[in-house]
Amino acid sequence: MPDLFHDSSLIPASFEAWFETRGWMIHPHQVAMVEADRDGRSALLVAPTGTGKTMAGFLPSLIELSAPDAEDSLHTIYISPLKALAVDIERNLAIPIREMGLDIRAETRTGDTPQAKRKRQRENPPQVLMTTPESLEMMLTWPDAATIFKGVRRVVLDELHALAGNKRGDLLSLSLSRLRRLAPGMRVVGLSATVANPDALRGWLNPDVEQVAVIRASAGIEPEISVLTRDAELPWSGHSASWAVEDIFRLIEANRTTLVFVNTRAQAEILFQSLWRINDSNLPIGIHHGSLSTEQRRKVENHMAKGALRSVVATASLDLGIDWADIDLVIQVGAPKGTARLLQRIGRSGHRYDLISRAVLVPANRFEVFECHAAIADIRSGLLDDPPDYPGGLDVLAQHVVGMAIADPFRADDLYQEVCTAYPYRHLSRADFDAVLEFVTTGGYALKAYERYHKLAEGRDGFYRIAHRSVALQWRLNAGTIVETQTLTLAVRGLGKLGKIEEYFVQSLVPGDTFIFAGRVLQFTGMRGTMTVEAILATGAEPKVPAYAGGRLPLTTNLAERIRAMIADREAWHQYPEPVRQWLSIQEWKSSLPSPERLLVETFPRANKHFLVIYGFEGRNAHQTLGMLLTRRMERAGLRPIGFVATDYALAVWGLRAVTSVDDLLDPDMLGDDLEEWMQESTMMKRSFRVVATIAGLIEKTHPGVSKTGRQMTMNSDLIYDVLLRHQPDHILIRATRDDAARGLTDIRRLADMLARFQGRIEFRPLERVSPLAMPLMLEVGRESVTASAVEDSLAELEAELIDEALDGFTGAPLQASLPL
Amino acid sequence: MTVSSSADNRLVFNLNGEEVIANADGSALFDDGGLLAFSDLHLEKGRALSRTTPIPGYDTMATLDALEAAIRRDNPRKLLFLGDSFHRSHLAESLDDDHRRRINTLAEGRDVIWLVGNHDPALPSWLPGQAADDYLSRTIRFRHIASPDAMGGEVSGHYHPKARIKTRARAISGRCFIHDGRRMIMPAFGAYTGGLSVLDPSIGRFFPGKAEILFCHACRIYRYPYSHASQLER
Repeated sequence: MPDLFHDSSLIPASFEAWFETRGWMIHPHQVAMVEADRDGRSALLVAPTGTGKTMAGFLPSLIELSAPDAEDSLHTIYISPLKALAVDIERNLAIPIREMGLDIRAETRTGDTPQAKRKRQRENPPQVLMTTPESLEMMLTWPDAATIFKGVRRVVLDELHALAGNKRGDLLSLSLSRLRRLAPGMRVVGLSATVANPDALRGWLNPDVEQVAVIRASAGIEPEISVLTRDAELPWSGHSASWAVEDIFRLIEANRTTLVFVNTRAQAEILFQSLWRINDSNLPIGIHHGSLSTEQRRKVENHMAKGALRSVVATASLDLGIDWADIDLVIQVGAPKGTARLLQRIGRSGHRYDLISRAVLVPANRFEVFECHAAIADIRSGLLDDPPDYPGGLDVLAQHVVGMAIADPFRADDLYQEVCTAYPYRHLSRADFDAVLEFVTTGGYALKAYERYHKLAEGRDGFYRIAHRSVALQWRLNAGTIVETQTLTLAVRGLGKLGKIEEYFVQSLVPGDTFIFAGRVLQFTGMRGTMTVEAILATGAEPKVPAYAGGRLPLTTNLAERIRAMIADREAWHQYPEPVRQWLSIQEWKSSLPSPERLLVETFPRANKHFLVIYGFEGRNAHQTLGMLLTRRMERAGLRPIGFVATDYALAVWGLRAVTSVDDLLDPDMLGDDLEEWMQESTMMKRSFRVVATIAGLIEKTHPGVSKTGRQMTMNSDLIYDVLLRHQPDHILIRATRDDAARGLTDIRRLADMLARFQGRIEFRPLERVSPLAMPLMLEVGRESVTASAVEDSLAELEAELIDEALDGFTGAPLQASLPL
Repeated sequence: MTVSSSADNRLVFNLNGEEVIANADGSALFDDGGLLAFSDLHLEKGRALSRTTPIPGYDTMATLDALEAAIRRDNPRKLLFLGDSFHRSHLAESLDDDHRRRINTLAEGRDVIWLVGNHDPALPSWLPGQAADDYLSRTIRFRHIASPDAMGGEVSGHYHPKARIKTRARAISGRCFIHDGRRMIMPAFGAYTGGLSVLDPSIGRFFPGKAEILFCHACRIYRYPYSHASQLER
């Protein structure tokens, strides 16, 4: 697009010339960013990948710093969610700096930066610093932070949608609140590829939203997306998409470079294996996922950058903007589960402003056909998912409060005011702030007797300081919001260390078991010490597939609604493959189709059990929660539920008695006491508590010289959780845990909305046998969750079965007593 | 003798001619309900394990809560602790005031006998009651570690027996009593204690013949033949 109309005084001639030598035009949104900055405004730039977004973010800084009188002090801080991205950006920024002959010092600082370089950076900070949220918070606790940061003019937040709406985002927002105080003239620039409602992100950049300009780049050319279909049989359920392996391989063959995205590590492993099984021409195909060691991942990334690979099978570990050579095609295997995520992934192909992005979606089962079509429809209509807007975590606040005391003594009033300028904490009440302050000062009621919880002390002058010097050391060792599940190193004979593997998975293995890792079938041989798993390459064995818990992505609300509408819309059926059309027709004939207006509920008997299926379309997490609550309620009603299974689309519950009426069962009041009770009992709460307690500094991540196993940590935190819950249920950590559980795993608000929406509008269909739409669920039934009372029943049942055997020899005439010697 | 109903919170059985009641919380009543026995409290284990990580006496609090509940329920004349009541002798000496007060209150108006265990060879001076190596009540001798030479009528602790039971719903692990009508090993009562599979030879060697396990799970106790226990998962 020509940019003849921009104010030429904004862009110096040397910059114009440089863009020209590169054969680029300065985009209107890049100019607009400079303009907003000149007006002293912060700015949110919404632009697709490959539109010079990062350059737009840096342009105002580069122009300022190119002036001969620019000060040699910290001027611009760039924050990215990924270390790798920071390194990548440093490389990209070096090009204009070098080619224009600018005298600008730009450096990265992350957890990986060598000690010597860090020391130098502290003594003499670079003008442009590229770093992560964790490193920034760490730097803000330096006693000389006020001096170092006072000259900061600009903060650039890349991929803001990935930083907002989670605990890392909470921490970053708190860091920004401090920075804003140290450098009052600072502007904050947010870069985001995908966002529907920019207002939610504007508050992030400046508490005064009106001060934040929103700049949108033109969308570029609409991506070309298709759904892979074949009229052959489509699987009913499952996630491996094995039916499409050959088609995927043909696509890889037909293109120069192809990125294949999957949703989970297990899928990546399985697909990678299957591709190589038919890869007779030995095309260079690689794999990239978060469990692989850093070296392994770097190797793949380098090969990819050099153009030495034809294809990479990857998970979210590759999602965010790492700039690679041209990708011709992106294949998404399995439903994308969210439009923003899909668009991000598609943006990886044709990664230039003027090239068309091409993508093929591969549904893994019948339901995913709808999901793929729904996502495409969303993209066409420009409707994107927003990052969630939750109140900031109190655990993160506790960590920040201690960090700020390490930097400088503070008064409670001042810090409270400062913290409230952080967007997620804008509604923080003074009472909550005081509770957090009390927790880090006295440990709170339950921990008062233990001195090591007295991290801060209030002086007679009303200032809070750290109570002893070890607090600072401890804080640094435990800082951050990412609490890892315990992972063990996997070492393979002859190959060395292959990567990290989660402890829970290893626990389920016995020597001799085979599993897939890094695209290889391995045989578990045993443990070396407590932290290393030993394995050998297995020969010709069928692998035991990695069990994958977690990482299953929930369906976003928009997508769920659209899918429900798509199924109800007969007119649109023609775009689906034949098996899907037939499937829907039979469903309509035998039962009924789910619709946006009514909630379809079916019952049918099967294998001596009675099934109840609810087509909620609210995502697996919400259905999982509904399953937990519903079974409790059915138990009370004497319906003897045995188990349930939840998918993104529906919930199936089975029991020993038939359900004859569902209105009472699905009454929204189940979200009251039932929910409260269940949350307290479930291990999920304990798991959340472990994370919360670690972030808040109650239990420690690492100790100098001592390694504690994850299991040991879990036991400790479980105990603390139980006691706190009993003695002080309103403790801030318990509250933070409850918030987390509600925000993360359980999707309670979605469930509440659904139950309220459909109250009195339930379409109840008692059937003689399983309906077509219920078939996919029946195939998932193997992985049921068992209710607590079912466990008790089965224990008692077994006892009754064995009672004669058990009592044999112990009843009847009393034994002749022996002498108790 | 009565055979208690299934899925109850206590079970009555016969040991060396004495009627014994096993509670689902892991304690057991002897002497017509006059003597309540607990094994392996391991108080302050949390503190012992966490020189670097503070887990403030939460395990001690939890164990004392359970202990108080059991004593309130059974109101025995005598309390008998089968050893390893404290995870470390020196930590027992410096037990939190509040915890000490609670233990003293429990002991009020009762005979209290503390057998010494391998973890607490020296019992703290402030402890109410008397210390002993073993204790005889009617036809039963109580000691910390089972003796291979005992002929019968023996109740001990030390091994923290646990079992895994496969049911129709799923396999469940939990602590348990194990006995053969002559001798019994009690489960650990402490909140923060691991366990050893009843199939482990160090327990199994005491029960070469027919035996039964009394399995504690979620406030209930169940009886199964020893042969029905399966190997604990690692």
